[in-house]
Amino acid sequence: MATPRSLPFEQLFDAAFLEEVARLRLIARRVPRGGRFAEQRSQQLGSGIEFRDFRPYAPGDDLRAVDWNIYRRLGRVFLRLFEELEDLPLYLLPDVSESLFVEEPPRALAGFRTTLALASIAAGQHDTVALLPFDTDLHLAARPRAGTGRTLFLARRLAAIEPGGRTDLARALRRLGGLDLRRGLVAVISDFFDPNGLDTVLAELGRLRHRLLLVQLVRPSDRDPRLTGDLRLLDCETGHAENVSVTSKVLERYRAAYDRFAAALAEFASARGAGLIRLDVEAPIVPQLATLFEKGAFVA
Amino acid sequence: MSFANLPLLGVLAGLAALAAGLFVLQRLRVRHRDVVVPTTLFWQEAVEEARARVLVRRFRHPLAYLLVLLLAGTLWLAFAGPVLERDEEVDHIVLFDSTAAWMSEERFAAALELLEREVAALPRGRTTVRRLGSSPATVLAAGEHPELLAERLRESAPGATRAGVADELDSLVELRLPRPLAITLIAEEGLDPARNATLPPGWSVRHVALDRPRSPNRGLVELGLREAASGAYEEVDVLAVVSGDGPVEAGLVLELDERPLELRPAWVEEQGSRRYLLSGLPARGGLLRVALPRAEGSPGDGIAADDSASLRLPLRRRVRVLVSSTVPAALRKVLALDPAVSFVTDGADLVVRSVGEADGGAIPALELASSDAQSHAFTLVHGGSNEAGVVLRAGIERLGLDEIDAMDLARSLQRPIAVGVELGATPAVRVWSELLSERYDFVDSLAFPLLVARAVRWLGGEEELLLHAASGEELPGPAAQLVDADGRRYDSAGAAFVPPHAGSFRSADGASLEVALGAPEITAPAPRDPSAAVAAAANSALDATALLALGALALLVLEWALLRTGRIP
Repeated sequence: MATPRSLPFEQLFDAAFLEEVARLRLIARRVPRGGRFAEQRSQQLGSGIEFRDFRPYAPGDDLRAVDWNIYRRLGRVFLRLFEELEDLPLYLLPDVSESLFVEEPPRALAGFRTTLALASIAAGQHDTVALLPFDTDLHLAARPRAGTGRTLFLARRLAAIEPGGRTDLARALRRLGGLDLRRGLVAVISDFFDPNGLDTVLAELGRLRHRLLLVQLVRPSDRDPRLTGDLRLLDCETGHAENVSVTSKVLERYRAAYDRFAAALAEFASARGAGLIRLDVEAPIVPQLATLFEKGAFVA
Repeated sequence: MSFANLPLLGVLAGLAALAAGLFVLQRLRVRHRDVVVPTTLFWQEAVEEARARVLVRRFRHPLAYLLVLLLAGTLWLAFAGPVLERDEEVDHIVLFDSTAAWMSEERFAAALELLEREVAALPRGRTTVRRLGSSPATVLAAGEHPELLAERLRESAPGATRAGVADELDSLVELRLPRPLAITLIAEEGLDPARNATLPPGWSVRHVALDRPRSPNRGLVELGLREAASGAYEEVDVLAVVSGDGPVEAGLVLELDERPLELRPAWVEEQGSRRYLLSGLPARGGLLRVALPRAEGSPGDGIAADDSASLRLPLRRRVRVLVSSTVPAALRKVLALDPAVSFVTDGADLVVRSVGEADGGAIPALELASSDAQSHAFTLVHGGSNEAGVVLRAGIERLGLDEIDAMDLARSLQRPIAVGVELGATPAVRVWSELLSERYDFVDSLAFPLLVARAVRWLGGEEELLLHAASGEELPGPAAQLVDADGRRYDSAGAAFVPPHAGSFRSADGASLEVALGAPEITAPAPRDPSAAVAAAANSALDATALLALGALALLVLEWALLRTGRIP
């Protein structure tokens, strides 16, 4: 297994990838309203163009919203409520812990590309995007901003990220929850291999008031490891050593444990109404995202 | 196959212990390969390592176990020192001459090295080594490690003695060994070919000698004495023979009782040997030493043990004889002519008289008795310390009675002529007085003066002449307990004594015995036929220790290679 190393810009975001991301943005624009991952029905009294409902006037309400036709007919003041499509801040949480950088190809490559692809889509819709990588804690790589030049800026920020330490997603999520950010969409791009256990992570995810998009970075060997014999498995983050004699029964139990992990994640996403995407890090990222986008997999 | 360092049972027990120990270790052995993984979360749930070190689970990696067992077993066998012996049809015995033949220069050390080489080439389990010499002994038994040989012979030195190969072979033949014997003789001199022909069927003798010839040597091969040719009773003549291929000596160095003896012996040359005659030496019990002259500071010749020899001269004193007046003239005449007789009137050692006469008193007597009063023609009277038969036989030989024409006498006397033995207070020889009559020819026979002379000497206590004493040669007569110059005791239990080596011996009563080397086969061996040189025996035994060690090394390399390629854990 390769030693952790940062990923240069040219490797992360070459010309071919950037071209693919541009095409992905076009694909995203063709998705009907309601199909975008950043859509949110605002609960605020808006001046949008879509009528939604009436409500009685309360002191202090904007008089511009009063429906005078109803007043003339009923002698009572009611306000016209309109649907306002607000922008949905996208908070990108890419996993930068050590485990993302040790394999070949490193999961961080797919993770960062996914992060940039999502950021590009959001930026194309004029949504604000923030970059908050995490390992042992949450870090601020880019404040929530909108703008067409945002993508390149975020790409540079991603390329500058160094491999982190241990994974502590639960802690990062707690910190996120404490930041009092505008409600938006939190996209966690990770393998979700937290030494504290998935339950701890899911508990913190459940406490967030944001919408959730979980991007699980997987590879085939996660479920079917190609290991045999008597091994001493060393956790690349914690250093924990586990002596294993790999037999067919052991592999059976391993797969069962992994399936339980995957099922728990899916179950949470379903119950929480979160989006869950499984990306194969050993396959091109953009085509997978495009397929999932077209299928509406981004909407929970 | 045999094992030099361990008994067979020990080897097998060791192998079994190795197998059991390695088996246990193999069951407990787990070699891990380090693998770095993103997470061990799922493996922790699936792991069953806690059950990998349990002894009673399935045995894993049997081939790896066999390989390490083979490796350990090979090393164990190498430690045991296996020897593959090809020749198992005959037994081998090496006779090592540690006698005076090796007493020159560094020949004994070279002989020891030759012995070790010869023994190494023979099958260890069937080879015995005997050291010949004054005290023949087994210095290496069959099956013992040859290194013990060097240790046991380290303090050995050649002795002034003869090899006694013939005696050793006789002893071996008498053992009636079950298997044929291949004899290797390591000596300067080989075995007489005629002796080879007398060996049992299947036996063989191979003579191995040092390659380099010995330096020229010359020494005394014989030293003996005899009655003085002059007839003088109180003198003896000594004969010394010097032989060898060394420079011929210019005379002999003589000492009598440690004082130079000015005497120019006559000598004759005979086929490379010089025979010296020392005439008229006084028989007064002195110690005569004969040596070859050596220039001061000269290194000497090949062997020093034969350069000198000593001889104890007998103590001779004329017998004082009192003769009774009744003794017939014929007997008087013979007595008068005997150089050993000195007539006295008192203080006699011996009396000659007729039976019943009181002349001389109770002293040894030569007596004449009437045939009516004595049943035997000749009667020996002795003190009773020996059996009558012994006395009789000794008497007949000593007195020369076997020289008497008893048949003729018997015909003349019309009576049987016999010899009898009696017990008496004082020794005596009694003869029928009738035999001295002129009617019979006994007085005129040669036997008569011989009888008289010998009777006088015997009754007078004359010391028997010990003509010569050489190592390895049986001495006449029974011997008392003897002690050599090194304090070693020898007791022939009343039988004849065979001196084990040259040198001085002393009996309990203080009498000394001088023994010369007297070994012509050592001093002047026959020229060796160069074509008869025998090559060293081909090594019939294969020491497999080195082979096993190489095998173990090869297995180690194999295990390393398999380990590196990951084919074994």
